[in-house]
Amino acid sequence: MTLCIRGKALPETSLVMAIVNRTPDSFFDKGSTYGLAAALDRVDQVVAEGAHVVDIGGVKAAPGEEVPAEEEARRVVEVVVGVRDRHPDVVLSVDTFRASVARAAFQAGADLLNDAWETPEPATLDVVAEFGGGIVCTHAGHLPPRTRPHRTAYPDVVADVIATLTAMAERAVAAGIPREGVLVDPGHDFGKNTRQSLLLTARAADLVATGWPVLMALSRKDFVGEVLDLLPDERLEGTLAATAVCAFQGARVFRAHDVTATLRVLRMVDAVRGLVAPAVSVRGLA
Amino acid sequence: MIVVFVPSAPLLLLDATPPDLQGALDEAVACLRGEVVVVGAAPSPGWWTGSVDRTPYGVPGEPAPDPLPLALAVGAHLVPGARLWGVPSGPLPDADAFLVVADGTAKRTLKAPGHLDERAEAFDAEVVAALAEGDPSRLAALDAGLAAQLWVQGLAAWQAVAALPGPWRGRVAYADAPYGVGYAVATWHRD
Repeated sequence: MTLCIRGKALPETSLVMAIVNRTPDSFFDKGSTYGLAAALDRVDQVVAEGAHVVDIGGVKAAPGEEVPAEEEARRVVEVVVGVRDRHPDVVLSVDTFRASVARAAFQAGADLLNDAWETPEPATLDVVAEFGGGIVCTHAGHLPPRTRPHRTAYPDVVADVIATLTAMAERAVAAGIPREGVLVDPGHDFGKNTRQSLLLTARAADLVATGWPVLMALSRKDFVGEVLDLLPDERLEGTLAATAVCAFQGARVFRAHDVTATLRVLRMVDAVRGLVAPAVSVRGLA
Repeated sequence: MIVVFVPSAPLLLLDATPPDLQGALDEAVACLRGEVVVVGAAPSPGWWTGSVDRTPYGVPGEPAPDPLPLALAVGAHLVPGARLWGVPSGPLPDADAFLVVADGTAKRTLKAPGHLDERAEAFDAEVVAALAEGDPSRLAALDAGLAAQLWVQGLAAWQAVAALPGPWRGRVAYADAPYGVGYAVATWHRD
């Protein structure tokens, strides 16, 4: 399915959404791109590496310091303005669950809303539609924003994710958001324990079969950490393994800290799937 | 009359041709006029029809029911609509132009498909000299036993063309072994 976000058509291959955190406290980068200059440098770097989408966040996902909407909007908009100036063609995503922050970001030139918390503010959909933007609908285990899972249980986590996300996606389209700009994300670790995240990884094809383009946010998350008993800075290989498993099943976009490594894995998987030709094709054919 | 010589590598079918070779191929093929007959090695002699099938080389898809042998597939790919003649055979059919799909040794370098054989470079050089001079007798005189040892797949096609009467004005547009296989692109003209 062709993805087109605010008039920017994306290639038919697997895609990378690069994470840029304008936060002092996110779990992996721990504030390294909190300053505006550092955030913009990081954007330059991920665009140069080949990221298709850049995702800017102003509040860490886990519980922590309360960030007022005005402060979140300030952090995000400064980056959006800077990126729009330097990289007019990149698809620019903003990671927020607040309608007011989404509005400020779209006004500044954002293309896509990445709402990781099941869109707790109903006005958000109208804001996205007003600007003709795209949206990522994420399953968060029906939890309030910035909460951790505690004894989460589902009769069938995959069925719950599929039912929730298809309903959210249809609601987004009904609100006037262009269908070709709607993605769904099963929300690994959001309202899920490690085994539930693994089930969603193993059965990614079931979500792909809904026809909605699937975004996977796997990068260095705790389900990788628990499987391997490793800290965030040791989770690259585990992340890439899960990435390959999901890409092979047809997931389309991968939200990632490690852009080059993820792109190489996706290119390899896309070649196995026959979506792209080898970059070089000489051995045995000369 | 014109005869065009091109290599027989599968990578020509896969859009994987090196740019300088592709440029020489495009220029040489553009010289062909009138009814073109492709001449290439085939399991049986004479006329062939069939499909250019890339699936034997690992391209995804359904295999064709009537795949052409490699040399004729390369010819059909380069000149769609050309008639296809398999060699070794008796005398070549009448035509306005021939496209000879043939290449040299596969032992030119340490990384060549057949590893390095010190005799390979001289063999290919002899072929290129024959093509440059338009000299059919030198093609006819190539050593079949040595050619087999050096993994030459083009001998039958060259020797079939060597039977055409000359004299020819020869021109070599490309002669190299970028992947250890001797490739030549050449043209022969005769009034």
